Amino acid sequence: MNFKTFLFACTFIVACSFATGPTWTAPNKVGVSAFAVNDYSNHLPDTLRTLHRTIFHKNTFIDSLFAELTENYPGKTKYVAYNYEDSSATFSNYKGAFTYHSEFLFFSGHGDQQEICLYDHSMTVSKGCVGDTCYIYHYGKVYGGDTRWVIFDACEVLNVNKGGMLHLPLSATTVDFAKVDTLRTAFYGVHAMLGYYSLSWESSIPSGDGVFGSENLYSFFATNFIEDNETIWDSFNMANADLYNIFDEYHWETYNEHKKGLKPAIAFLRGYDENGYYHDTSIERFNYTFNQPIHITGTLELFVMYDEYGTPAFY
Amino acid sequence: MKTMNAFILSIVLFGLVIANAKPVLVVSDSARNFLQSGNPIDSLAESFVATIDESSDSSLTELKNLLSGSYTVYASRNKSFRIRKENTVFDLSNLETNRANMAHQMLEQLVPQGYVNQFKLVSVDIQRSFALSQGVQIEGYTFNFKRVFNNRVVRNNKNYLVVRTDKNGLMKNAEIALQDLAVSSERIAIGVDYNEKMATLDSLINVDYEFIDVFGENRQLKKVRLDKIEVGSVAHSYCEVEVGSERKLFPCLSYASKLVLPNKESIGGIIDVPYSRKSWSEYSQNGTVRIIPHRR
Repeated sequence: MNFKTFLFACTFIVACSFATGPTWTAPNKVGVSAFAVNDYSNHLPDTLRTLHRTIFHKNTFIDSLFAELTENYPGKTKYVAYNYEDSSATFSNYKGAFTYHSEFLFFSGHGDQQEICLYDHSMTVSKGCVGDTCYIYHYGKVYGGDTRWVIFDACEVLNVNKGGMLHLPLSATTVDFAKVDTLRTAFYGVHAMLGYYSLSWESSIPSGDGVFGSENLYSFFATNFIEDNETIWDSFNMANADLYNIFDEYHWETYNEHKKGLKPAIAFLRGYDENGYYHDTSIERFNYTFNQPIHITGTLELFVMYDEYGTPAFY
Repeated sequence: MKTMNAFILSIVLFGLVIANAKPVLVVSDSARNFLQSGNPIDSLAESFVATIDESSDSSLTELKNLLSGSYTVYASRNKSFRIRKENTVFDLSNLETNRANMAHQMLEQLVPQGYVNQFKLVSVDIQRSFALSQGVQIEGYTFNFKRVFNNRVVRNNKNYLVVRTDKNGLMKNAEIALQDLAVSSERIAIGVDYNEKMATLDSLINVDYEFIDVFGENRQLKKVRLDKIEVGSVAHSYCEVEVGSERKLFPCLSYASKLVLPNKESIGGIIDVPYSRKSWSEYSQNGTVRIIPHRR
């Protein structure tokens, strides 16, 4: 199947799904667009530290998701629309990809507040700007169409605190309202974005004859989301907690140090859309997700949420 | 909790030995009273070591079978399982005013009667959201219980109960992990006075809790000298210990503490410590013995 035929097929499927009317159900198909960058030696204006497991993260995400779908939804159409890594995961390839045909968009690499770092340039997670006069680092991309969920496996993309306060808990005084608004502009039908309020991380530890890598996060996620039918937020949050506990224990045993913590986060929509449908996209499940793009209309509003660990005490 | 810092929670503790710059140790009245009050365990000269049977999962299976009559059991793994049931609501009205009571009620509602005293609440995670028109809101809670075995809190990450709810106490799910534990005939000396317990804690602080590494905005680790360690509460517990190549559960004390930085920000942690500086010496002489600490 050439690319045009493929796109036509996708469009046909999407048209069919829309023909069923708005409802909550499992997606008719599961397309994935995935990007990962380990090699930042050509990143401008500055090179960034080389990463080692982002491609593993990407591949594990795809493989685990599809394996769970095969097992639990054997009739479901699934395909990889884009699978770009390192030198092909460029700014222009990411920006230009028709990712709106994919239910999932996955990026793994370096990140910053509302920014992801592609192979050659970084890009804001926002509508951004267009045209020749636009400074390249301000280009953005919107997410919608068939895309239900975006995963930014990168540091701090969903952190909306003011500068100098990135590490502080979410509060009325720490939040930079402009950053919330920046993130909001990237929502063009997408249901939710998963990522981190904190730094993200990658690592591996010995396991039997091989290694156990941080990419297993996405195996846990796929199991939670598809097999166990947890909500999108709980699936991601619990997967991170499980992974963190495994690594934390190992690092204590081996190096007498704690592995740095994770603060998984979600940006999601809540409220009534212009047609009167109520949405809380943090609690959508794979078999119960709105079958159309959700635009920020009506009373719908963008929320950013993360977990804050409690202080231990013996009660 | 209010001063707890999202990224400072993401810390690395290093075992640095630097003399003459120890953080100040502050023990709350309730913790001091606990250690001096003549708790039945405190009157004992020795306490039994517990063992873990990794080859069996009968404790887990038994509880799973008991719960399966009332809940949907799912996500069964070899060491844990989850349960859920629609419209199960826990009363969280005492969450801030009487957390122990709230936790007890939650357990009475959730697990069979014989298991109520087998779990102890240790921490509550809070999910917060922000929206421009709503400001900061609490969205939900994660209640982290640890297993209690032989009247001691089991300080490893394979014996727990986690209950997840929304902000109104509506249950999302609960996750349970249990190991098969047994009391052995091996005993450890625990009968020491308050001063020796404090001296033991103090000696560990000197070794392991001088500095912590905090993640800064530039993503670089920054060493920060601890200003103060505030012990809020204490529990008699079982610490997972490596004796040579074997893992055992040694009687120990667990100090729930706040590690306070010079800028007054703090992080929470549990410091596991032997009862006395000599209580494990027999094992130290026979080879390596060290506590395997756990996050919560």
